[in-house]
Amino acid sequence: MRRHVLTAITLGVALAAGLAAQGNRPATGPCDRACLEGFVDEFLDAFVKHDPKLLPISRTVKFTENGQRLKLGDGSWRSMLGKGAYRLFVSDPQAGQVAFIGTLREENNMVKEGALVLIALRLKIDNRQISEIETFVVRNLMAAQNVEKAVAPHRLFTEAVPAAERMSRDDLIKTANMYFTGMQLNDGKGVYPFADDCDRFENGGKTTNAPTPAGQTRPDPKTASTYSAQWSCMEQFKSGLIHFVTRIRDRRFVAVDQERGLVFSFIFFDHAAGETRHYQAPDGRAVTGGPTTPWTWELAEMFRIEKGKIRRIEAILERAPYGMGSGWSNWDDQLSDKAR
Amino acid sequence: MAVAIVLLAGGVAAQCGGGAAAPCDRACLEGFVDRYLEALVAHNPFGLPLAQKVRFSENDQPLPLGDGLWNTATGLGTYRLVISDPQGAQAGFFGTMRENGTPVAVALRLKLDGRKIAEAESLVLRDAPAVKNMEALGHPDRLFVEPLSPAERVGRKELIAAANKYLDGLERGNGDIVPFDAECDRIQNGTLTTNNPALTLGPNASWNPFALGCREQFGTKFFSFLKKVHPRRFPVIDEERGVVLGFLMAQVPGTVKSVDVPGHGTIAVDPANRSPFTLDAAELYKIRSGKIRKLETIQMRMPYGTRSAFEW
Repeated sequence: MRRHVLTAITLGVALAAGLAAQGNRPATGPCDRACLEGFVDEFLDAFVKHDPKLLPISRTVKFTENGQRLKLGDGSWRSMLGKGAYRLFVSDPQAGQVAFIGTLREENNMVKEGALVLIALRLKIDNRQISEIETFVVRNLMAAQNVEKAVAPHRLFTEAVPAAERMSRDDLIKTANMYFTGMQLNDGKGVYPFADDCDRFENGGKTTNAPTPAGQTRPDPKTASTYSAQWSCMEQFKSGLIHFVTRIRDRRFVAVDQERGLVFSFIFFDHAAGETRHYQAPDGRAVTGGPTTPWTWELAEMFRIEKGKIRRIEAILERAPYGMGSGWSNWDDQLSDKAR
Repeated sequence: MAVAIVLLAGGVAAQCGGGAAAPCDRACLEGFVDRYLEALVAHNPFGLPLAQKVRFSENDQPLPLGDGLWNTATGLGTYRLVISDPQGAQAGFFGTMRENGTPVAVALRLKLDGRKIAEAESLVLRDAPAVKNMEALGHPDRLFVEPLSPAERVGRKELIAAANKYLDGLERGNGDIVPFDAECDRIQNGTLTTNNPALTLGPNASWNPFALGCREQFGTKFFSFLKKVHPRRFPVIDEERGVVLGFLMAQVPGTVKSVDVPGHGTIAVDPANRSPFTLDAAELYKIRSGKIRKLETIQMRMPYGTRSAFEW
């Protein structure tokens, strides 16, 4: 009798697990937006419970954190305590991938509920199973608090583009890639596809069109020696003053949402810091700028694009060892500035 | 005529340093280190004798030769030690340089194939206060350059075994399994971290692991936040001086929040060691009569799980 009870309980658990695994998704058919976003929720729930076994994963699942391949369950799987409020999705049913930027709380002796951190996430879904998990955790409290303050993503990241204006996947990626090409060894003379109202947020901070602080004068791109967050997207790129970003490499465009005009990428910005610190602005004046030591930023960066123009950019970033790879590319691709 | 000139020039270059066939001895290896450092400052690797394929890494990231510090080195520093291993055809450098004028510490390993550089592995510590501390010491401990008496020498295998035991002891929090010399001391990034009561865990700390010697400090379990020391490599061995230049990575999962120090009580682990990271280090070992007498590291934090560029 006792055994029967146990069996019944076990069965009940199995049933419940089966239901949980299915969530709101049908078990077959393409994984659409709701299905992909559901996988992100399931992942985050499992992540903060420190238990990868809660996930429907493929047998060959591959997991990386901050560019390093780890065993599933290692790294931040051990330290995350809870989910934050900010959630930004780029769903790509065609590629079977979903990308996400959000906030989490990580164990911390000073803060009982955990310290706020940023996370960028990519999941690849094959046959309703997670086959690839790519995480990028930015442990920068001020940045995470800035992002969390927004509560929800800007409306441009969730609003559909009118059907007649939607761009092809290729054109969306090409446009986003022009941003990187225009920044790499920026000389002010490239083609920069920015909408007039383009804005960029990095680690939750506004890095374009920022208000000029009281008592200060807005820097003039014609005379400045460093680019300013007070300038527009176009002014920054036309200034030719971001030349010290010498290489934007391992450009992986991992999720495209045609309906919303979104492109999500993982990339690295290298600053070689040698001779490239000394350059000429477009008018010929000599300028010195950028880091004095080899410097790599690791980034997750996403774009809202309309009618071939970038309207809004949001990125999270953290310094990485110079030349570090993503864990998803071979060495040649890792150092290449080609779009993939 | 042109062909003859090229051939002659090639012959002269190959002979430079004492004949291509003979092994590269201490003077020859030291010459390679000097030429490499000079080439770094000149931002030009291509004047060096290079093997057809050169593997280069900086901070365990494989890079094209000419990238990284090759773009930014502006001078040599004042702290300098060369480790020579004629048998292994490898040389090491442990010292300081200038990068755009700022002090940096460099641990370098060169591997030769014949008289050509086949591997250049480097760690560059960009932490000016730490590097200034190194230079304030004046020079690396003389122990690292003094030859051992024949009676004090042990073979390569024994040198590696002693260094490896040290890492076992670090991993397990047990100084008793390590062949420590009673006078053992360790310097990490320019700071003496053993037998140094002036260095503390904080102004109000009730206990100080840094006041202890090598053996006692391991026994406190203070390093329990390091869960695994892997990989461990001991590639450059100077038998005459009893010096090993090793590279190691210590994995810190961030899960150890406190340590029970035997005979003392519970000590909170420093917040910096409570989130996942990998400690990447070059470590010098001076081993006399098979016992570890002096240690010095150049070490830095890397993303958790970072692989060695040369072994995993």
